[in-house]
Order: sequence, then structure tokens, then C-alpha cells
Amino acid sequence: MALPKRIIKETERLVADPAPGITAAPHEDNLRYFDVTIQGPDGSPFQQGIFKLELFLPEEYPMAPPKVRFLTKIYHPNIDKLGRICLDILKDKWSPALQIRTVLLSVQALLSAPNPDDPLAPDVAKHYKEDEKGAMGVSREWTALYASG
Amino acid sequence: MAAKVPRNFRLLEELEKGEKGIGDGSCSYGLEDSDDIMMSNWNGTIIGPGHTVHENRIYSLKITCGENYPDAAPAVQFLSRVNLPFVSPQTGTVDPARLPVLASWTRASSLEHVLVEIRKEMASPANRKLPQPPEGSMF
Repeated sequence: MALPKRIIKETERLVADPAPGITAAPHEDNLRYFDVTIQGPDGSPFQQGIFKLELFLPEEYPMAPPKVRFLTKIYHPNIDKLGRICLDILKDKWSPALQIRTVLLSVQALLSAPNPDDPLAPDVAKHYKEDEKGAMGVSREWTALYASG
Repeated sequence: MAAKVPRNFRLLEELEKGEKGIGDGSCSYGLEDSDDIMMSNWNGTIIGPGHTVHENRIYSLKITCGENYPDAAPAVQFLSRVNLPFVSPQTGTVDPARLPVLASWTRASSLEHVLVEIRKEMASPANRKLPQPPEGSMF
């Protein structure tokens, strides 16, 4: 009935030595299911936002990537209306050498470096490509509206 | 310990399956509101089975997944009028006690199952010839 040792180790380290601007805490009744928060990186339109996410380690983890989703609304070309994230390491670029911590750091980095050429939210990506300044303004507004804690 | 897929990730899987299209297309479902982050409210569609009074009729249903889904069954309601023994003739609400897939709900069941089972009920010998309200009428 035990949780794999690797998951226990990763969880202990996440709690004892969290990455800057990131928290992850497992649910008591499901130790594979984490409540996550990520602070919007400084210098990005998401600065000062606290974004809630959820993360789940499927049965096959670490041979399969964790599942991660934003619960806070966010205006970003690689995150869709349901909070799904387009990030290569969550899909075909996953490697068992990656961890929960590295995944969450990559999601945080994605906030600093939106990639409108590989969009999940086509309308947001279009906005970012045609009027980056205006699009960043909307991202800032949404951050103030939905992610101010 | 077998991994227990949490509600939201389970519903995302079902959504993705529904978007790809299930079976022969006689049943389908999707989110009522495409930015419903909690994925609570769903629309279902059933195309009435052939060689029954339901043939070629298109039935719309509303499916609600509560906080405890998939440990708890979803709530199901017909929006299109229909005469079936497990559907309230006043409101269209499906009585979970009278539909086995809901009465004996388990985590292995899914929204797809619910629709497929309702469609099977429509084609059962007891129900296939029940007189029906005018086609296209709504509750």
C-alpha cells in the first residue's frame, strides 16, 4: 500500500526546501495530488500574482510526466481557458530524470517567456504576436483581477 | 497503492475523450461552458436508436458533476421531452435509483457510460415502443 519511495523523497524535499516562489503541498487523502502556488516572475506581466495550480502524479510516474493545470485564470498564449499548459516536458520531452520541482520551475519560467508560436490559446497567441504590448497589458489586468491572492 | 485520479484530472480525461468523439457518434458530450474551470456542467446528446420510436430523434441532456465526482454519480436531466420510466415526466430529471448505471455507480463508470446506457434503455423491449411527446419538444 506504500507510496513509491521516490514520491516520498520528492515531497519531503519540496516541503523542507521549497523552490523560490513555489509551494507544493500534497492532499492528506491523496498523496499523489498536490496543491501548488506559483508566484508570477518579476519583470513579467504576471509579477505580483499568486497563481494556484493542481498537480497529479499518475500511476506510471516517473515513467510518465505529472499532470499539471492552472486553477487561476491567466492570459497566456500557452495556457488555455481550462488551465491546461502547453509545455514540452509535460508531453513528449518528459524524462524520468525530471522532478516535480523542475516541472514547477519550468512552468514558472514559461510565465516569463510566453511562446506564441506554439499556442494552446490561439486568440491569446494572436494578440501576443500582433500587439505584444497590448496583450501584456491584458495579462497584467487579469493578474490583478484573478491572481491577487 | 493504486493512484486515485482526482476529480479534475479525471474530468479533463473525459473531456479530451469526448472532444475526439466516442464510438459511432450516437452519443456525445462536452462542457456547457468552455471556460468552466471546475468542469461541473456538461451537455450530452443521444441520437435515438434505430428501429424504435426514438429513431433519428436527437435528445439533449444536462449532466452535472458535483464535487465528489467520480466517487459520486453525476446528476442527469433530459432537456428534450421523452417518455421513459426512469425520467420524470414533469422535469426530465433522471431518477438515479431507476437507472442501473447510476444506481450502482463506481469510479470505473463515466459520462460516456451514462449516455450509452440510457440509449440502450431506449432500445429495450419494454421502452422501444412507448408513446413519445412531439419530436423536438423541450422540458
